[in-house]
Amino acid sequence: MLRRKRWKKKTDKGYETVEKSIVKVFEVASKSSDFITFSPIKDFPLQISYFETLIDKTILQESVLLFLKEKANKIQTLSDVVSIIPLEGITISNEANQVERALLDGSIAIYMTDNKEEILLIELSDSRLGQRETNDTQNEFSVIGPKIGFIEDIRTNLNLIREQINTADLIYEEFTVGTRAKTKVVVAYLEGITNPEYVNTVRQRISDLDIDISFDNTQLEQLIADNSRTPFPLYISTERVDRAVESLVQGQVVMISDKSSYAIIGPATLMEFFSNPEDYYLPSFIASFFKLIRIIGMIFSIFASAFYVAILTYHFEVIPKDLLAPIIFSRANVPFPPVAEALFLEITIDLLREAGARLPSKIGQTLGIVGGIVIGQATVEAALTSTILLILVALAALSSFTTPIYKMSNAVRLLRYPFILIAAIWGGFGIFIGIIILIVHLSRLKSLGVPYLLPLYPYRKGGVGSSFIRPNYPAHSKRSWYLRPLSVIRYSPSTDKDPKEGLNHE
Amino acid sequence: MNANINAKNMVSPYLLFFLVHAAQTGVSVLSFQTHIIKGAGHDAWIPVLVFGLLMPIIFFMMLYILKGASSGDILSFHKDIFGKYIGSLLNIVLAIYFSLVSLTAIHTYIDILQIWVFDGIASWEFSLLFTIIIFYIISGGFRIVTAIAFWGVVIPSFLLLSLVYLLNFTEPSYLFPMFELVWKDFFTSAKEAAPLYFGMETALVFLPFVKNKKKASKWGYFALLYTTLLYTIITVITFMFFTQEKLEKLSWPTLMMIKIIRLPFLERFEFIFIFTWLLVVIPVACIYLWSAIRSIKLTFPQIKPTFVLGSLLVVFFYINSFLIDIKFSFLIGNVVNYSGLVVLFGYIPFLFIIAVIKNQFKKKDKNKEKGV
Amino acid sequence: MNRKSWQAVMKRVFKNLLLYVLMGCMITLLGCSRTKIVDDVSIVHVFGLDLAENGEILGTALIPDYSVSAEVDHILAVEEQVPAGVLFIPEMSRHTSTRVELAKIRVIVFGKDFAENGVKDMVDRFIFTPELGTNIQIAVTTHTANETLKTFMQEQSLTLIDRIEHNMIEQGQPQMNLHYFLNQFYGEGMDAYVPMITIDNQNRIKVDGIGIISKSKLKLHLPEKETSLFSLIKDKRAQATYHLDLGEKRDENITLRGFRSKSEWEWNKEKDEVTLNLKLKVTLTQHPNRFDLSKTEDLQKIKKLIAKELEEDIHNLLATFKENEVDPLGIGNIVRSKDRTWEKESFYRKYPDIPIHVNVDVGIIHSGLEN
Repeated sequence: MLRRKRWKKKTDKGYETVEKSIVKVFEVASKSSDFITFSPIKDFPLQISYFETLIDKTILQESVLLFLKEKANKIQTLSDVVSIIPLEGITISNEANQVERALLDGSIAIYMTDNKEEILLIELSDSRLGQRETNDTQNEFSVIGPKIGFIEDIRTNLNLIREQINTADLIYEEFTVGTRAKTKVVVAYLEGITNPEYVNTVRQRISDLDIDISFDNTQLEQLIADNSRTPFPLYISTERVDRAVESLVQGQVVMISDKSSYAIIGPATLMEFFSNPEDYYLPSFIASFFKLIRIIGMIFSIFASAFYVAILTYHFEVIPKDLLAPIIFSRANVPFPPVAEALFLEITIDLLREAGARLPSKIGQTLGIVGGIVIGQATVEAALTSTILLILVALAALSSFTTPIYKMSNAVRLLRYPFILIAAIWGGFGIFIGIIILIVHLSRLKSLGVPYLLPLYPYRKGGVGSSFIRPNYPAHSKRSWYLRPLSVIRYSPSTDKDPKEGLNHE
Repeated sequence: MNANINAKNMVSPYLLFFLVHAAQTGVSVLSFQTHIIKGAGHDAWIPVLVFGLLMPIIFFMMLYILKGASSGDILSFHKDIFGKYIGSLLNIVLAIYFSLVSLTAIHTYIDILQIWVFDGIASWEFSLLFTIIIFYIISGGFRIVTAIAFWGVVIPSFLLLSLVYLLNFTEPSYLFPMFELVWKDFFTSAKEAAPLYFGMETALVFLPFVKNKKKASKWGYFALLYTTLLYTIITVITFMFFTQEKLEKLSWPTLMMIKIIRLPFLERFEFIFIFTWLLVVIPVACIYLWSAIRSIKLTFPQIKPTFVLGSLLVVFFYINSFLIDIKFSFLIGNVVNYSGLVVLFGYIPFLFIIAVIKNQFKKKDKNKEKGV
Repeated sequence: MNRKSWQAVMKRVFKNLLLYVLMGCMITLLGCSRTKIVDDVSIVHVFGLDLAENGEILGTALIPDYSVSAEVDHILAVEEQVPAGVLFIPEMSRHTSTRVELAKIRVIVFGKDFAENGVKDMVDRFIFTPELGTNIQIAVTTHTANETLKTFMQEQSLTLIDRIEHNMIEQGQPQMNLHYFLNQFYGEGMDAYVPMITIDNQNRIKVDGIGIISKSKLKLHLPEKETSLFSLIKDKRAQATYHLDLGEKRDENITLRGFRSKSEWEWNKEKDEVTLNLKLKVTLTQHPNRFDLSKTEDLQKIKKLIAKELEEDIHNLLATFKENEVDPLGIGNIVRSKDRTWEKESFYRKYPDIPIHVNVDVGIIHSGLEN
């Protein structure tokens, strides 16, 4: 398991210590069929080599070959080529590693046939091939508000952020992660606001990271997390640009990586996983109400089936008298104990979810109806479960999706099973023991060194209110100081805008 | 004064409130009313109140003792005053006392569970669960113990609202005539009320872990007053709720009071109450056990604390599972009550006097130095 | 093995120990028979206690069978005779196919003979357990409990508790449940009172006043009119309807409906006198036409009339209590709270002779639709 505290020096990894020469580089590269070497100008000892699949052919033809062919007679040395070609980013190099790196990053190499030690490199990469143009954030949907999302190209993502916060304080620090893949990761923060401790921690963890390929930012998130043995996500991962910008302004650190449409935000605390950017576009009463519904939904989702199992198995005295008849009647012919019923239904719903995610879209609709309605109805008629349990489990499954962050809703869905099992063995007492273990586990988690249960457990004044409700515009003028930002006041709203009205001023 | 504690392991000053309050409220709140009416009858809320108001004095003595200790806790104080060997012996005695209190709390709670909720389930299952939880909490260090103390005060405070429901059934005439008690009755009831207030002697061990002692002590006094107020209110409501003669027959008066609450969706509220009470008992067990382990750790530095924790928990598990006879409950309960009284009212004032004398000597030395 | 490898092995074992233990627990405990699954128990709703001929106790339990339908139309009555109360569960369980559970009993009914013989041992052992809730009802029936419960079963409903309880809220029964009963049963200076139920001539169960249990025996059965008066004195929010009978003609009826009542007791130590000041706020639901309530003097007249009638009735009620040596109003307790030298024995010796003065002050809130 990869731990973040590695004190080993970054020594050369086995496969890259071999002394290379440029000739060897070209030799290895020409084994691939997409490595092309040709001479653009007839009878002239100039050669161009590149990986065909990495470069933008249009720019090659229009800006390089055209000018080369036009001014072919002016070329004596490589440096003349520099003045001919109207592109920027031209370097001349004689280091094998740099040449190899540049070729693999999508540059073309221009050199004299007889002198392979001096190579001219021009960046011509077309990194948007085969990727989507826009992302309208279907997974973090909001009715009102901008639907701009990150896409898989890092340049576009950085552009989106910098366009929205076009202040000089926005700093991008670039790192390369991965030994085989060399993915670019950019850490963004606002200087003068973000606490430098967090930036240092992130910097240190990314530089110490040793992995061969990082596929997606969310994988990176697990690799640099404090504690990877927990189902709870320790950073917020989001596709929306407005959420990333908001957290930058609050004083958090945003990490964006290439080939990934998710940005991860740290440090994150538990209550932030329940807020949606749409909350800021709605009036504060409505937004607070919805936020409370989300929190209640999550709690209900974890505990509903567990309480059903516990009450029916051990504590029947708690059931109100009028509810006793329907419950017993609906359970009368069910052969299993409540725990078996509950587990059966929960697993069915998870099967439906997993299968539904992988069905081709044409079949998906019909099977959804079959799964949801027919199976549900049929199980009740066949007396395999009781109606009440069916309602509970369906509602619990639905309400687990109310959290806006996908990773958190997964954690919630997973937590249901241990609670059901422990309720089956020890009843209500077991559920409370489970609650204690959950609370202690959450208290032990830290995100970038910040305790996960802030601002509730290490109580910070003013934090509790804004965890559960969304404060309105004048109340929100200070940054939440549990992030220890360097500057606390965001804006100072003016409070006396309207002419005075009311009984006192008649 | 806290030379050897990493600042990362320390907690904020206001958390002392939660630590002290959580360590005091434990299992005895559920059954103390039957014991205190033995002397003073329906006036027994007065000894509860007065006893609670005496506690800040003892707390002040404790703070004074710890101010003079070399690393801020009582273990180093023992070593300073009594020398290395006797000091270590006293530390071990203290550790044994703390473990016994922790054990009593768990034992009594398992008793309650078996009487009120589950009557067919063996004790070893509950002991096992407790062992697992306590291990998980204490192995996280003092910050996690404080976290559970915090949640153990915040979450059960919702139960206080249930007291409002009980006001419907109260009858003030049961409290009158007031102030009928004589001194002898007062002392009998006070002795029975004493186990309620045990809990702050653990501050002798964990106080160095709290930042900013001046601010923190303010919170400590506040916690003591809050506990006193809470206990008095519960006592008064109990006395207005039950007649004295019925109270004599009940072994768990608070739970019998809660039994009457009926919510629209829950017919017996006492199950929720008993289970939430778990959150009140666990901090008691954890804080005491943590203090015991720390005493042992500072006396025998070569043993790893997790190992001590593991072995103590194995002993607890064995005792709670197999020594479940009634005579053991009585025995442990009485031992703990007497030891607690001795520690709070005998040992701490004794150490206080020693600390005062020591301070006088120090002053004299300083004056001598200045004079010469 | 040397120390380091031993430590490594121990570490590995301990890391997974928790997992093994939990899995072991789950496998062994999941199938255990310590569960009380809600459709695997027989839940008793009403329980009746009677005295059998040989001094043993006859218990009758009504158990609904919901597995046939969701309506309450299958009720099973189980009766058993045991020498001691705690043997009920094992004996009754021999009749049922699932375990009998007493935790959800809503009403306990005492038969008349049983109540007159003494209920103390049953209350001590059977009723005073953590299993029963304390807001259940206790009732005494004028017939035997067995008969009453069987009649009730014919009605195909288990709503006996509702029948008793709603009378307490809106009608003339004083507030009572197991909690109050136990308090007063054991308490000094007061006697317990329970609702009485009887079987009327249409074979239905009827709530009929209260019965007063003193020294664990049923001593007195108050009929319905006195019960309303009693609840007007005792409860703060009794909404009893009380009828004052002024004469033969149908027009001369005054009925009042209580709204709030405040009773203050005074104890005069030297003269050994008790005074009851009763402040009633009532609604006048019916009054004779000769009074016109918009005129002040008529209002005064009718108030005086009502007060006089009430004082007389209360006097009679208190005289009945003294005659039967019962004290359901808790006069002993009230005197105790005001007098430091109160002693139970001497007070109750004096009790039949203590004069009790009654002052009633009536406030009329409104009189309904008429003016």
